[in-house]
Amino acid sequence: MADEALLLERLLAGGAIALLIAGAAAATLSPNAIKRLAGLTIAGLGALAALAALGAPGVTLTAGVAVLFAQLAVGVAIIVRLQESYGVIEAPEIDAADAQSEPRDAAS
Amino acid sequence: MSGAYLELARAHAPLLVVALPLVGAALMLVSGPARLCWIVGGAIGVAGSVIAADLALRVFSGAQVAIAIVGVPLFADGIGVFGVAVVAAVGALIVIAAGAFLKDAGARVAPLSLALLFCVVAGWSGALMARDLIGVFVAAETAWLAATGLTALHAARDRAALNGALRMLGAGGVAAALTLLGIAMLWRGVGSLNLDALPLAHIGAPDLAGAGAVLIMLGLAVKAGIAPFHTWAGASLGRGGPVVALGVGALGILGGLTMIARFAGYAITAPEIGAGVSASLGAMGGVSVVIGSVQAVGASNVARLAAYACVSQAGLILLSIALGSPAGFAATLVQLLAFAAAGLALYGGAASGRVQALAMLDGYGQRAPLASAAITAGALSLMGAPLTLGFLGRWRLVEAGVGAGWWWASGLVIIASLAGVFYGGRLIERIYFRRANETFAGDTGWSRLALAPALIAAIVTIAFGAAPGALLRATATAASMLTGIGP
Repeated sequence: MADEALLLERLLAGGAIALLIAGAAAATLSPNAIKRLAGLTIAGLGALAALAALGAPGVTLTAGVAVLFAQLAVGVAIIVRLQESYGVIEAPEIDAADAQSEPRDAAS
Repeated sequence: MSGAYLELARAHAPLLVVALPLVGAALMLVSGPARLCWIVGGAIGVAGSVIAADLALRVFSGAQVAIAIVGVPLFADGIGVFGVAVVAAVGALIVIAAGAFLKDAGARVAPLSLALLFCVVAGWSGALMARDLIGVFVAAETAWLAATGLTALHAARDRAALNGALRMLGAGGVAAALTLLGIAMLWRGVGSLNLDALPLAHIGAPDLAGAGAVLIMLGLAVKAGIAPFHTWAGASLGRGGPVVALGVGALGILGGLTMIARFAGYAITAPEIGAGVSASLGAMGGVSVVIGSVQAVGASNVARLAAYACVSQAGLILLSIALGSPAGFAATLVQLLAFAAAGLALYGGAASGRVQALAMLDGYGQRAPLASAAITAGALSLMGAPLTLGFLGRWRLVEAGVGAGWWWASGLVIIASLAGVFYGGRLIERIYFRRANETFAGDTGWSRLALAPALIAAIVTIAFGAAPGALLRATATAASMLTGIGP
C-alpha cells in the first residue's frame, strides 16, 4: 500500500514537472505574447500541481495562486499596451521595431 | 512619551522596514500633485532608511536586540539586517533622485512610479526579513511584479520599455514556477519551510532537498540578473529610462542578490545539501562573470553597459557566497555594497545628463563635472581599482578563495577586472578626452536632484575603499550571524 502511494506521488509529481517544463518552454520560445502568457499560466499550474503532489502546506498553494493571478493581470495589461503601441504582439516584429529606434552611437 | 513611542518603533523595526514603504506606496496614490508626492515619498524613504540603519547598528554593535512577535513570521539574521539597511538606503536615494524625472513622466505616471518604487523596496525588505520560504516567495514576487510594472509604466517615454516589461514578465514567471517547485521539493525533503530550521534539520531526502534549494536559487538568480538568465536586462534597463535603470538595475538586482546570499547562508550550512548548493552557485557565478564582461565590452548604450557590468559583478558576488565560509559571506556583503554604490553612481551620473548612447558622454567632464566624477568613481570601482569599494570586495574574495583553495576564483576576479579596465576605461576616455558632439540635456533645475544618489554613492565608494575598518567590522559581524539573532 505504501509502495503504491509512493508510486502515485512520483507519477503526480512527474506529471506536474512535465506540465511546468512544457509551459516554461512555451513562455520562453513562443513569438506571440499571448501564447507566452498562456505558457506562463501552464507553468504556474504545473508548479501548483507539484506543490499539491508533494504535500506542501495549503498556504503555499494559496500564495502560489495569488502570485499566478497577479502575473496574469500584469501580463494582460502589458499585452494590451503592446498592441496599442506597436500594433502587433509578435516578439520578432517588436524587436525589429525597437532595433530601428535604438539611439545610435554615431561618433564611435 | 515620545521616548516610549521610539522604543516601540525600535522593537518593531523588522516589521516597520517592510510596512513603512507599503504605507508610502499607498500615500503616493492619494497625495495629489507630483511634487507633494515626491516630498512625502522622500520623507518616508528617509524614515525607513533611518529605522533600518538603526536596527543594523544595534545588531552589529553587539547590543541585545529584542524583536517583538506580531504574528507575521519575521526573522532577523546578519545578512538580512545588513541587506535591509542597504536596500532601504538605496531606495530612499532613488526616490529623492526620481524628483528630477517627475516632469518627464507626467502628472499621471509620477505618483504611480514612486508607489511602485516603494513596492520594490517593501518586497525585497520583506523577503530579507521573512522567516519562511512562503514569505520569501510572496515578497520577492511582489518586488518583481512592481519592477515589471515600473518598467511598463515608463513606456510613455520610449515604447521599447514595454518590450523589456514583457521579457521581465516571461523570465520572472518561469522563475516563480521554478521557485514554487523548489519550495515543494525542499518541503518534501526537509519537512519544514522555515529558513532557520534548514541548517539543523535531519534531511530525509538530501537529493530532493538539494535540487529544491538549487531551483529556489535559480528563481532568485533570474530576478538578480545573473547570466545567462538576464535576458530581460538589456531591453528593460537599456530603454526603460532613468527611473527604471535606478529602480530595477540598482535596487531590484541588489535585493535579488542579497536574498540569494541570505538563502544560501542557510542552505550551505545544512550539511546534507551544502556542497551541491555551493557547487551550483560557483558555476552560476563563473558563467555570469564571463558573459557579463563580454557583453559590457560590446555595449554601445551607457545603461546597458552598466547593466552588463553589474551582471559581471553579480557573478563575483555569487562566487563569494559559494565559498560558504564566514570570510566568504563577509566578502559577499562588501561586494553587495560595492555593487549598490557602483550601480547608483553609473546610472545616476548618466541619468542626470539624460545620457543614453556612449557618444553622449563625449566631453561630459566639462559640461557636468560632478556627474562625470560620480561615473568615474563607479567605473573605477567596477574595474577593481585600489582605494575603491570594488577593490576591497575583490580583495576579500581572493583572500577567502585562496584560503579555501579556490585558486580559479582568483582567475575569474582577474578576468572581471581586466574587462572592467576595458569598458570602464572607455567611459573615462570619452568623458575626459573627447570633445562634445551632442547637446547637453541635463544638470539644470530639478535634474540636479538625480545627482544626489550618484554623488553619495561615489563618496561611499571612495570613503569605504580608503578607510574600510568600520565596514569590515560590520560585515564580519553580519557574517557571524548567518543563522539568526532572534526573536
